[in-house]
Amino acid sequence: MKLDEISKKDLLSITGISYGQLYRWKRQGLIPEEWFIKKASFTGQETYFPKDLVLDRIDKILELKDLKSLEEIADIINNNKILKEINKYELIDNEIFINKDVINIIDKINFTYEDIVLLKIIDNIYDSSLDFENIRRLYSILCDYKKDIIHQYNFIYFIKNDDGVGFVLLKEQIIVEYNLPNLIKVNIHTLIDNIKLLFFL
Amino acid sequence: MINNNDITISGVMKINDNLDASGVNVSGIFKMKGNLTSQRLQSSGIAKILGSAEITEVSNSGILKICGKLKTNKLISSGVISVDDVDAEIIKINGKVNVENNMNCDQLTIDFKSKSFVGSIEASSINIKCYRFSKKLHVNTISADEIKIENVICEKITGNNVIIGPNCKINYLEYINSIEIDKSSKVINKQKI
Repeated sequence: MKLDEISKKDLLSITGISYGQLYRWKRQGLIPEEWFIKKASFTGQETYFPKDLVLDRIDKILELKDLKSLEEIADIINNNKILKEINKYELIDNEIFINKDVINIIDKINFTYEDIVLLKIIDNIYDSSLDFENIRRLYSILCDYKKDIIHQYNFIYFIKNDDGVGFVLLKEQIIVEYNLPNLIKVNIHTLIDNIKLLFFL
Repeated sequence: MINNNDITISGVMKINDNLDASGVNVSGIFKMKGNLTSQRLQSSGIAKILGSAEITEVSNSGILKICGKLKTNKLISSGVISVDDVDAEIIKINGKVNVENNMNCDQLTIDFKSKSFVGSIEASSINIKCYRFSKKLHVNTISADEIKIENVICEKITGNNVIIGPNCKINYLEYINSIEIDKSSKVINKQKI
């Protein structure tokens, strides 16, 4: 077992949910199937989960469960064509972006779901060393790949240097030697789910 | 893609495409290469779907084979059913069952009449019965809150309240609350967690 993984029985005892609940959420798509990692162990087969992701998600479900029906939550998480727009000031109030400048990349009052996803991806790599023009250019490139990023790929790796930023889109995680300060990994799937749960429920 | 309201097959039919119908009734032989989306599937003949299926209610009393994943609300089968992977709310099987991978459901009742196999079972409550001691259901892993089984050969079981009936052979058993084991069954390792 890796450090960032949690076994099924530990997960159930920490969160206090039952097998039935866990599997119902899996069926409804509230917990993605990819998070159920099956591994052989000395007591036969055991299922492991990515610890932070799954604990975070279960917390959210338990928190929202009383306000919304599970079907409503599942509809939002599984839906990639959200039409509702979010006002700029609501985004600022919620402090969704760590860097306040990010919101100024687009000159708009109402932001679509896709806009927010792209801005949040940029927010992950934004720092003062990058020229604002560079960031704008990066945003317009990301815009071209908007559909692919949201619907197809799960990870985006950014490579930064003094001149600018490049990126690679990947469906599966790759193993990279960790001592690369200029390489930043963004998990698109989690990022999208979090944005949906924050604004579109 | 073929779109239709209600299809009744009482002869032989073969579709090389996907099918979207409100209901499918099979009493002959039906074979399709694509995916099936439907409200109901009722089969008392032979039905084979090479793709995957999303059907609200399935009832089968003949032979049903789905090579892909089956997503359904209610699955009732009293014939032979063979699927790669199932997601359902309620499953009631009375006959033979073969699930290659995973069976995920809320309420599972299996009363099997001949040798069966399920890759893994994930459920809320499980009740598996068989009146013939020579027939076995093979499962790799079972995990659920309430488990009651008979004539099952299983590598690993995890559950809250577990009742192991007659003629079972279990390699590892982990339970949280309570356990009951019939004397004709064999449990090699058991552990309270």
